Amino acid sequence: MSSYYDEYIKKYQTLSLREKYEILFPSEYSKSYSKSLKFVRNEFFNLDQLGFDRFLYLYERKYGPGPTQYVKKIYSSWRSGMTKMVRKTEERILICVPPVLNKEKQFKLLAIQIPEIIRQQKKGFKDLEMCTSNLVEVYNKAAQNVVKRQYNLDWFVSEVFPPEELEEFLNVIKYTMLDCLKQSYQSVCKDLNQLDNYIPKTSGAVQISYNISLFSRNLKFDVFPITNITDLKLPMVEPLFVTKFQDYYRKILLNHAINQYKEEAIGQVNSQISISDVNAITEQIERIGKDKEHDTNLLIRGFGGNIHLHIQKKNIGRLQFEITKEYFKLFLIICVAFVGIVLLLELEQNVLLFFGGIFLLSVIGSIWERISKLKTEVREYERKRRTKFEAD
Amino acid sequence: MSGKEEQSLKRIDIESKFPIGFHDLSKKEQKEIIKKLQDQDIEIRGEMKRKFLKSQMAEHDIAVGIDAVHRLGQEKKIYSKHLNGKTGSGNYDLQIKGGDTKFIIPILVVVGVIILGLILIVSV
Repeated sequence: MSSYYDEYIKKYQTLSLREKYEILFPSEYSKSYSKSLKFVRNEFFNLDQLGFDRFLYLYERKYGPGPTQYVKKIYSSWRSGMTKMVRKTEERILICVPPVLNKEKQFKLLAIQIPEIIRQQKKGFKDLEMCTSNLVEVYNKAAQNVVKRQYNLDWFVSEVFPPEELEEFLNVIKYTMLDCLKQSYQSVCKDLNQLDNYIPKTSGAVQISYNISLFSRNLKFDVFPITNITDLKLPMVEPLFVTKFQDYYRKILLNHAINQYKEEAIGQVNSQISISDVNAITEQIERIGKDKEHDTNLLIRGFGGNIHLHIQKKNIGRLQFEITKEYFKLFLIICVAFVGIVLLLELEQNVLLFFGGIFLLSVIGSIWERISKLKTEVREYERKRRTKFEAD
Repeated sequence: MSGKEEQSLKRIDIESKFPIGFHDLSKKEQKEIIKKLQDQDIEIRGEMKRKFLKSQMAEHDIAVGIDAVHRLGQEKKIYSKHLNGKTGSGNYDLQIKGGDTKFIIPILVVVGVIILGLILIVSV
């Protein structure tokens, strides 16, 4: 075991930075990294003469004249696809090509990291327990998570972009996420405040569950109605723009604001249409008739989440009849079995009595099970009629 | 589903929704943003009308389905009907069960069988 471990360590030490990264962060590797590599390779093969000369100058300074001569020699074969680029060279190109690209392309390369950062941010929300009693705490914790989290960017990013550019980039993304949290909180509060409007007025059992869109998680209704809805104060500081990418960040923030505005308007539309849908469908299901049963699932959208309504109407009379029927069946079987047992005892058919007894017990067991199921169904229905909120 | 929803978007006031940093932009960029906001507004209004129509269609489908259930009820058949579809705000799934509930016949059968069983026991 130890020899294997030593061998592994030895092998690990000889690996390149990218190979180590692949081992440490296997899931992160394939997504943003492969996209970045594709982007840089494409730019590399489309460099103009001046750009290519600048690239060679950088390459020579970093890796020496030998490898540079090799790149010069084989560039056209790589470009035509006749020769495949080795991993080590790919890594070097990933480091040396971005500095010779224009500002826009450099930013495009950096922006490839955005989905991965958002994924990491959302991963941090997984452990949060969503309850109506601690809604503010949940959002505050989520905000702390966004601000304090150490984001794992692809290995080459820190080689290509200076720390202040990376900091500014992360600050902008953090700011937008905090703004999303703020808007989500306001939207969820709006939904909770008007939850009564979403509840159908029906004599059947209604169960409600609420899923917060931003977290894709169900909200547990441990307290309702919620009286402690307070303003959410998040540590939002508008980022300062100092680097060459400042124009792009301004644009990002403007687009973000426009999108937030759109989300708000869509939320309002969703909420109103949802309420009118609930009313219309309730009106229709009330027409079904008292002697009939129905099981209705309605999925509607609110301001900040999806609301699942489960409306049930059971015919209690039918269920009670079913229970009585099963009791009669049980009584009948017991009577017949008693006669059978007496006869078999008189005839001294012990083997038949044994196997017959086993069969009889299994039949009685299944009938008893059905009775219990029906009774549970009645109890559950009555419980649902009393309580409306469903935990996740 | 009334026509009230259509009026709600009149509340949207584009000028008050200008994003932070809007006034630092050049005139051309400001125009672009205003155009984007207006396009968005029109898009949302269109989307709202589509959703509203979808809801009306869903309501109609459910009404037709329930009428069919009533007809089955009149024919005194045991039935189960499943309706599902999309509304403007999401989707619905409705399962209706019903039918002949003449409970007395099976009860009489069961009681009769029990009486026969008891007679058999007594005669043995």
